[in-house]
Amino acid sequence: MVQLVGSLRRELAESLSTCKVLVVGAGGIGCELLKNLVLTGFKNIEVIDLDTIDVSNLNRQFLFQKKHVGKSKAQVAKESALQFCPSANITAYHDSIMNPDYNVEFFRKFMLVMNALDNRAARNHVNRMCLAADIPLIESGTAGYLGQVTVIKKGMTECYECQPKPTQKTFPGCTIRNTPSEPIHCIVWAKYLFNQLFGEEDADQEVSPDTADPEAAWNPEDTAARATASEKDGDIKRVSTKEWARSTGYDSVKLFNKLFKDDIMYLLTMDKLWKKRKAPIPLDWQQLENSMRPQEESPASGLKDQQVLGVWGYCQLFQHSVETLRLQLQEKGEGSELVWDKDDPPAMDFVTAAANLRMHIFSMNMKSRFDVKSMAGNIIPAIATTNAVIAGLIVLEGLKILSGELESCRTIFLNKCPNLRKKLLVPCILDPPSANCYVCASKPEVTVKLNVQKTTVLSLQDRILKERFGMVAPDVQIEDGKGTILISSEEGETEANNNKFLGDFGIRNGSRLQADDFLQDYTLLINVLHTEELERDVEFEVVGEAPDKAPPPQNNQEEVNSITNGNKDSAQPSTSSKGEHHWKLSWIKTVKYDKNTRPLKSLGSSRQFHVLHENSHFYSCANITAQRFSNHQLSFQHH
Amino acid sequence: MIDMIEKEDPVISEEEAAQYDRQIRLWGLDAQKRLRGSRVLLAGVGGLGAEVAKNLILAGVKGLTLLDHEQVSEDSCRAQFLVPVTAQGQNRAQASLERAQNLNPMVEVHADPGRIEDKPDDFFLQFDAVCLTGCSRDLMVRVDQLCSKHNIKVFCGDVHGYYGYMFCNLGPEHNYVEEKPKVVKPPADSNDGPEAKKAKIDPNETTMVKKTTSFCTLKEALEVDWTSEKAKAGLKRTPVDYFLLHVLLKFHTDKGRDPDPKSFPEDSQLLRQIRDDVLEALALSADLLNDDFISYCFSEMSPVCAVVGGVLGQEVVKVKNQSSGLPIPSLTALRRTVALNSSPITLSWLATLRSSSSCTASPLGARCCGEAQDGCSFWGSRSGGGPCRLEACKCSSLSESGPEKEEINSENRTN
Repeated sequence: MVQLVGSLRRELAESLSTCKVLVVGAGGIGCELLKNLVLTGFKNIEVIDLDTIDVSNLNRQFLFQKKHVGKSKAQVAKESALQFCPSANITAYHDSIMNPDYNVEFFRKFMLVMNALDNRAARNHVNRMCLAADIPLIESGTAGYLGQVTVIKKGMTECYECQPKPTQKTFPGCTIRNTPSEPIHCIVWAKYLFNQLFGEEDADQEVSPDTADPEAAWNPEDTAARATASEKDGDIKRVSTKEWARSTGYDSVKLFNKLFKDDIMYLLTMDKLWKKRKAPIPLDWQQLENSMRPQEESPASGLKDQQVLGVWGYCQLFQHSVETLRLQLQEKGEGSELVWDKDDPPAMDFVTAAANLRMHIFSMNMKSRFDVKSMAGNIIPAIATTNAVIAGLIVLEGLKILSGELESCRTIFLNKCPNLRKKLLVPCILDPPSANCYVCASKPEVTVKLNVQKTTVLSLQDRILKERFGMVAPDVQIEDGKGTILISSEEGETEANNNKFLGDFGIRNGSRLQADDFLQDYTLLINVLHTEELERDVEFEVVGEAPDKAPPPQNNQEEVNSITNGNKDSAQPSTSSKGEHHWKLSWIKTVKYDKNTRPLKSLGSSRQFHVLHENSHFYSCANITAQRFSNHQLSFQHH
Repeated sequence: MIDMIEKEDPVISEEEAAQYDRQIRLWGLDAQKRLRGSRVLLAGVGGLGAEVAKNLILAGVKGLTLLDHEQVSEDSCRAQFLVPVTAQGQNRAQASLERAQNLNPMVEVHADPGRIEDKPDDFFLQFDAVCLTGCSRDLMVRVDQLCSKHNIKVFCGDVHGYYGYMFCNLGPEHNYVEEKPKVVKPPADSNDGPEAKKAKIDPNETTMVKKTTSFCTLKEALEVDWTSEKAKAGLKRTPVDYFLLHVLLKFHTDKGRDPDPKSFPEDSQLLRQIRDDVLEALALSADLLNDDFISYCFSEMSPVCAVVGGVLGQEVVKVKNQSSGLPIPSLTALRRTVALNSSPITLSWLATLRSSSSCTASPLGARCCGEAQDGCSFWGSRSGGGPCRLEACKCSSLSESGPEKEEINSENRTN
């Protein structure tokens, strides 16, 4: 005879009350999930989140109130969830799941792990930990009205990394520095400028005119000559933007005229750039002050962030924010740096002002602070209802797993509107593991195309192993018969190698490297394919995978070409501080089972394009407009 | 309704803008203003009611009235997170007030311990939208008819164990805007779905299309004449959940309560009996709905409340926001397909009814069944037992890949 405890069969209810589960993330999905778990009868729950509570969380993360702003998400979520069921046993960790304390042993404690994350790095990591511990994982993500839940079980289903994920989009340096054509280019430039002036300087974030722009010269020799010349020419090539700015005492008028007048005038001398483009129009502070000042009205009523100011308004905002940031820098002391944060008002004001002035110079319509913030901060809209639905589905999938019905688990998509078959929720069968997955295959192996004379050991570690292949603390040895240790995860052992090139260690075409991550219990064999023909700005390519080409809006060749590899922050957790949310694109599901999305324009790619994020969008390829594509796929320097 | 709200022109403060930032970025400032001007009645503050309340309060409506005369009991509050554990015996609406208010101090939340049955018609007219959860059929039909007349949007829903449904009536003439990819070659003049697939779609451009949809009343939706030829033809493609809903509504009418786990043996027996009676009264075979449903339709299950409450809440919000696209079909059921013991747990949204402006003149039955063809093409899987034949039969009528593949796979596994 069937016996019920509430809605559940007694056996299931009993297993819920004894099993231990892990919730990774206590944000939008995490809050809803904790509530559902305790109300369903789960008694032993551990929750981990490194983030603290922000005002903008309160529209959906309902376990938090205004009085909790600034406190640990995991801790407050635990306390609030306990009110629903005081007999539950909840452990909260205010920490990163990537911390080595949470090793394979830690993961083995659980019957089930549920991800409620917002970034790819942590998802990759938990995926590997669950594979290593052989614990079932429920992965989830939402973006606006859209959401997705899927189940990952070693040997039975695809793992999170079975499908190649498109790398984050970056723009070529010359588009940012010389020929911006969209507001996003100006916003990226403004963020680079912030770092050049106040933050950590980065050679890849130059903001001055790029004299080596291949487009500016008719033949390659000219370009090369010009590039060499510019490096020698101290007048053009500043040694350090920051030093120069400091030497002026961060004089906002001098900065203004340098950035928005002199640099633009220099760009105008590269006349080939402007043959087919509208030439930029330099701005002059004094001139603007005299002519614009009296004309511009004071801002209208309404929300400040929604207003688009006039040119002089942005000049003043620029001046004011430079002044505030200068003082911030001064307070922090000699040699200090500021970190850009969309929630830091002067930093956001600075980017709004600088980006808008540049948009004006390049004849684009200026944008409100609200809009600039969306793009500069990569903000994913997020609502309570989507998270509620997704968190409900996570628990329903969890109940199947605990009932021993893994084969009936599904990946489920939540649509904005019912699809052609009138379905709002679309379940799809789970695919088996991919045989050549570089994570869950029995002997993971990849081939990487790079230039051994130009790739440093540090770049192998940071860009390739950590960022691209999601390792946390790699050890690398060369399969040269001697087992030469190239990189050690022990501090201080191989730092001397960092700035040497791979070629210095005898690595050449056909060399094999063995990379291990002890924490993830993961070994990857890397075949090196030496090449001297990588495109400009591309450090390496992974052979066989073409993530760059994965989601092409096929009629827009320019967009495709502008996607480059080696983005800096694709491996950074997004919730590292101050609650900034980052989102990552990922290939999750092939389109073949899924009728909900409109078919791709040409079915050249059989994949459906999805994004997983706490609140992230997933798009079918068909939905991606060029504008959206550039807005959302772009990745920014994080802090 | 939208016009009325715009006259009030609520202003969004800087404080609200900060708190609602992530949703304003989704539905825009104007939609947030419209939400800010709307008053909603929520009748029934059980597990599903709590979810809906949470979602509407977080979204930032002007006011929400929680109406419930029942007292807090262990079972009625299993999935009810707004009621403190110490509130046994108190009125459910009043016991939920404090936590509901804490979700968002900018919303006026009221608790009304009165009986909804005793409320005069005037009571309902002070709201822009009315949500009914856990209510009886007669009550829902009465409120639906009343509100329809006065252009008040009606939403009904309930959760029974692993099952749940929602119904919405946005009136005989509901205007909305839909974002569509720009179609290069427009399809022939037709209202049916499949034509849209043939048209070439430009992925890079979207257009906003103004549309009008007509919604049927709950009474019409529930009183389909299954003896008509058209209805019979569509029967195979009508999800059994529609009939399950009839069974559960009748149980509620007969017993004045929902199936209770404490009296599982008696209530199971009664459900079986009602199933036979309901199907007989509709002149349908009792085989249509086998016994599997019985042990999965007791009490309110939290994750199912979350899913139904999420969709229901979003539909209420969507109505305030003209531009957020197609309203979901007017009768939607959440379903768990199960086979005893080795049961896969599957959720599908089933669209059983959707009326469109072009066929308002046709009898509801025809609309229901005609539209249901797509609605029933739901994906389902069975790993053993259960009425596989019905599922397979439905799916074999479809031509594309997708769910069928799944169907075939699961069939293969079982064989």
